[in-house]
Amino acid sequence: MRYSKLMPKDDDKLIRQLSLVSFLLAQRHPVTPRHIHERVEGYAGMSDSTFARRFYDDRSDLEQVGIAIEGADPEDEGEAYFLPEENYRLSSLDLTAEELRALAVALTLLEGRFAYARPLRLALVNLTHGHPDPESAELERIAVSLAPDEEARSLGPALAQLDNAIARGKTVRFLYPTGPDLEPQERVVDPYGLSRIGGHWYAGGRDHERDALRTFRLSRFEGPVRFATKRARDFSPPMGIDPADFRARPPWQLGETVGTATVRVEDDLAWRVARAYPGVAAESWPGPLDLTDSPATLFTTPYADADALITWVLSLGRKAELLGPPELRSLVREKLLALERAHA
Amino acid sequence: MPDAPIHPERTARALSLLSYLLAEERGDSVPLASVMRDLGVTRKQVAEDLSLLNLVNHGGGTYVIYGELTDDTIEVTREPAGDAMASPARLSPLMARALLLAVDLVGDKLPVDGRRTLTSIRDKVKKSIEGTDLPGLVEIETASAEVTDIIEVLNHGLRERMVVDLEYYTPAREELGRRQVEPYLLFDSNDAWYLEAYCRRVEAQRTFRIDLIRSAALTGEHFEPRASVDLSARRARALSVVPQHPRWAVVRFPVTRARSLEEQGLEVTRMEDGTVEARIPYLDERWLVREILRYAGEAVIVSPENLRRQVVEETRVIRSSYES
Repeated sequence: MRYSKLMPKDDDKLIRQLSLVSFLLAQRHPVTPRHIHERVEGYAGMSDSTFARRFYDDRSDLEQVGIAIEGADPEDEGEAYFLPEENYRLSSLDLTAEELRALAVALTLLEGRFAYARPLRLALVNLTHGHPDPESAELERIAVSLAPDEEARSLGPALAQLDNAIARGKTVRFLYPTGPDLEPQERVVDPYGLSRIGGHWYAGGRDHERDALRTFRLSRFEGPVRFATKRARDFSPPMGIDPADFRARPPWQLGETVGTATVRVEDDLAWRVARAYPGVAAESWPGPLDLTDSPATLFTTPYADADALITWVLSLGRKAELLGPPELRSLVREKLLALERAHA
Repeated sequence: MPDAPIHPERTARALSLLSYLLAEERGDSVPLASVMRDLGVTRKQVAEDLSLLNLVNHGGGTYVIYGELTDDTIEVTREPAGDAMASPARLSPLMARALLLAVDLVGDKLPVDGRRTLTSIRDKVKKSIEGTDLPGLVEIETASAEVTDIIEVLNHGLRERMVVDLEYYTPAREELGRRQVEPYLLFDSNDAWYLEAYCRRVEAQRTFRIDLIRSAALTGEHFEPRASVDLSARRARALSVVPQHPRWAVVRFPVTRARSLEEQGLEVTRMEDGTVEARIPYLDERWLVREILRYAGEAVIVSPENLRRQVVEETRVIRSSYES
């Protein structure tokens, strides 16, 4: 007898679930719940109601890792279940040798430098039938080098907890600098997604107190991320949620829009602005006003934070000029004057 | 893997080990080191999973595998009932997500036919998980189409050792110029991707930030790798692009800037008057003046004195545009 009653509960559940998979894969036709109850390791000895609950939970857990047990048509079979081979077995994906080689190289580049390197390696083990690493000759030719994901390393459990919360629909609590004093305050959030932008990790989701989508930079979290409840699931993300809804936008667009600004950028830099902010409308400058003017592009953008907008325009140096609205031009003038005096 | 905090689902890990051990080609005595390397697991995890897999059965005491962990091998007895689970299981949502993120992160930088391979892998992985709920959204910043085009050209140059013609913007000089380079390495530094190359204009090894390259074109001319080009520092620690012998400026900021300055890795001192002072490294004075302007009055140079004068001069030039 290999089984021990002293086994931890989670281990017990895993053995039961894998035994259920093994049992159903061996069946040639759908099987009744009673048959499953009697034959599958771990269910025997349960009352009917406990079995029904556990079986439901096990199906749900297996579905979460991609293995869907199907119910037969009750009209034909009565209540019965089966696991089609295609619901279990990994298809080859028809990856070409070139594609597998590319993935193996990606794994090598990302090993130890990527928050999701562990599940990536397992995926490649399965796709390559146990040969995930590229040939050494291949490695010598790689002309790409990646920096470690320093943030993932320092965030560790917080990142893992948020990924888990997103996958399971769990509301989380955490302390986050809030308000003008940046005092840490507890935020309660339904996390919908994670983004890594410019080397930084962000979580986006619905902030309960503000009842609005908000984006949080993980490196600013203070203390651990905790589940807000003990329920199996707290929320389902709204349909059609788009990462763009909570992705980091240009800093001057964060908050409620208060106006629209026009910025003239000389063409030897305008291409970079257009590339960095594809959402900002651009049109050609009508033409040189005099011989000293360079070819330029006009960018029109809504803004919520005038200071952030001015910061961006000034970061472009002499190549950019904020043309309007007039009150923002005045503000730029005042700031430049203050800067000049502070350095005089 | 200390940098990889996201762990695969326990079920997925156990199923991966099961199909790995059930593969007959591995024989009955499977080296533990191979298992640990290929699956990226520890000896403790192997022992835990093995003790569970030994108990999996499909009814009537018919087990799928029996594995015994010795010092350096797993002695495997494959049961006939295990055949159905010898094939790897479907990708779990987390595995699929990891694959898609990996493709987004490095797909277009791989030394293969970039975008075609990238797109086809992504399409196939997505197809394989059709019907599976991929909960939540995780995304990694991807390059724009223009940057992907540029990287594809650079990759071609890297593979074929071909000279590339760059149109490159130098922020410190506010200048868009052309130069021919011999490409050696693409690397990332968390904040951006860079190209390490030999620049024929300055006749020296230089680092180019990819998002400052406006365009790139292959010249058709091949080059012989130069012995003088040293990539060891970039390969060993790609993160460090801070110049080796910088000059230093002391700059005063309001205290509200302290956190973001520290996040940039700068040394920050809190002053008695409630401000903070940061030591900022620089190579080019024009770059630092631009940085000060960017803070729109919140940053004030304490030293060196000559930079204070340059800030005044530059500010006057820009302010003149706003006088009308």
